[in-house]
Amino acid sequence: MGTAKPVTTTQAVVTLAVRRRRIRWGDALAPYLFISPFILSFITLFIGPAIYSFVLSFFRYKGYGSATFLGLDNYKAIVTYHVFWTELRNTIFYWLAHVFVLMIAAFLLAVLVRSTIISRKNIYKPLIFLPNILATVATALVFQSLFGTEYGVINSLLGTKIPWLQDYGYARWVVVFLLIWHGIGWWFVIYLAGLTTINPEVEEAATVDGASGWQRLRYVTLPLMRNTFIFAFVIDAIGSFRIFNEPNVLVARGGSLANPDMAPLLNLLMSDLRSARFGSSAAVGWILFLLVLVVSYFQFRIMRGTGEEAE
Amino acid sequence: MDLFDQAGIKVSDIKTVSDLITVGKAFHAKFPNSYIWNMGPTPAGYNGWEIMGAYPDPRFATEDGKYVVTTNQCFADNFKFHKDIFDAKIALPIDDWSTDWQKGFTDSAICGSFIATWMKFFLPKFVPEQKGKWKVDLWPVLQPLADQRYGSDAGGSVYVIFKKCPNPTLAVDYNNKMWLTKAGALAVYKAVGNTPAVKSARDDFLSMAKNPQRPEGMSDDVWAVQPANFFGPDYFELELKSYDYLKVFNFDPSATKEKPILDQWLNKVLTGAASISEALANAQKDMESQIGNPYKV
Repeated sequence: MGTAKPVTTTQAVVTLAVRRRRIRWGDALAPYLFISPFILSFITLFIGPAIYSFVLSFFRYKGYGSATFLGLDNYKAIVTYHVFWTELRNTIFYWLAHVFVLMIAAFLLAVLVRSTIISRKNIYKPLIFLPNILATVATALVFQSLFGTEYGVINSLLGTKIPWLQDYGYARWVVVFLLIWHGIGWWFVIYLAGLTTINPEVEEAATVDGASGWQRLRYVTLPLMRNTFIFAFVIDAIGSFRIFNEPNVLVARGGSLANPDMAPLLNLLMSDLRSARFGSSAAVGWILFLLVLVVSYFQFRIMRGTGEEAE
Repeated sequence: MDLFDQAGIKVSDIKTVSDLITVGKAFHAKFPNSYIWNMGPTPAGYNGWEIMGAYPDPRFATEDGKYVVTTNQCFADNFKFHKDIFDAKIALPIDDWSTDWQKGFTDSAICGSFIATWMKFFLPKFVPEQKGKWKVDLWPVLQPLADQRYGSDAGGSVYVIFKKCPNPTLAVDYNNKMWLTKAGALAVYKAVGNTPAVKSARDDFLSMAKNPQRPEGMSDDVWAVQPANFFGPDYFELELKSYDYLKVFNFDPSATKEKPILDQWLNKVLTGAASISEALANAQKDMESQIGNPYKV
């Protein structure tokens, strides 16, 4: 039967240091371990396919067999195609025509619902949010019935036969109306959440200082909501450049895509996908990505700049 | 009394596109809220395949990959036919599959249609109450177009059986028997109502179709809208006759990309944004720039 060796002071210090180092390593690694499932799936399902699609955009590939290297030909063909410019114009139209009305209306509704003017707020909040919980496709189908030429509800009420969905000049505005109606509830909630982050004491102080309702809104609420506005405008712009369901469900028939005179840019990508032209489709995707990047960058610059000037 | 009879129209008298327009105007004059067809500014592509399929060698490009949209007569004639009908206002200006389409039939605003035999599955469901009021006939010749009794809006079906599926040989055998033998074709008709395509099954099929027996478990409502009950007992005889005039468009591997380009330019012709020759030239230019050689996918 042996006896335990006495531990020297030096040995104890070394052991403690090693243990501390292990704990430090453990502390450092633990967060990465916890987020590793996301990181792995992000690399596998997003970064990997993104790199693959970027490479693919320089090839002609039908999904099987060999791919043919084309250099920049896919990109050249896209930017020289009049449909690309028509669909880009449509996309920008859908974005610009709805964004200001949507944002202003959603913000004002949020201000109104938060104010003391409105009672029974618990009724208005879900009512305003309601359109947003409806699926886009279902909503667009309902709008088809509303805006039919011969038997549509709108024409029946007006006693007219306006070709709302057949004349693309009108149909684009129906899409804009649908975007506003469907999106208002979502941005209303975002603005309402943004408004609750404003310290009531700041507003009270402004009131005590004699600020009117408009002045409080202009000089207190709006500047403090700047980050929420930046978020809203950027996210809405990204969504607008990816618009697909609304115009297609409204005007496309029998499984085809909407006519290019009405279609958003994503239709060019989808049309190539449907034709097994995966290289060209990937190239459209990357052009779309660049456009979103540029638009978001300028929105950040403009809105941050405006905010700093105001301050 | 039959609406066409009331308007003094004999379907057998429609031989040319002009006859069709004359008849369409006469019908609309007699029944101001009704039309003999419907056609919006974005016509369904299948009308085009029907019309062009009747032509000799209808195709987008030659086998060496050169587009012939501007030179193959079928395209110009197809566009002109649509434009003539659209401008003559003899068709209710709504598109197939729009929300107005079904209501147009229900409302008796659409009292006729130039369409393929698959409509037998839809029309009876759209307007079950109009049972016995509809008749079918072969398309008229419609000169100066190619003989329009011919044509089809389909390109055929392809069944893909993977080599590594559990029973590939059995799957091939099953498909062969189902579609290409008399017994199989008749069994499919009994099960789901598909008209047999094999000629050996015709006589047996017609005798079955003339004395239709309601399949077990089929409700009265569903039975009432079966083609032979909705259109009359002579329906299938005529459908089989139409098979003798089957001709198809020679689609190439890039057809899914070519079709939307053609549709886009047809829309421009109908809305007056382009002439037929401009539209065809631009459609060909788009196909050349965006597809190149359609056989090299």
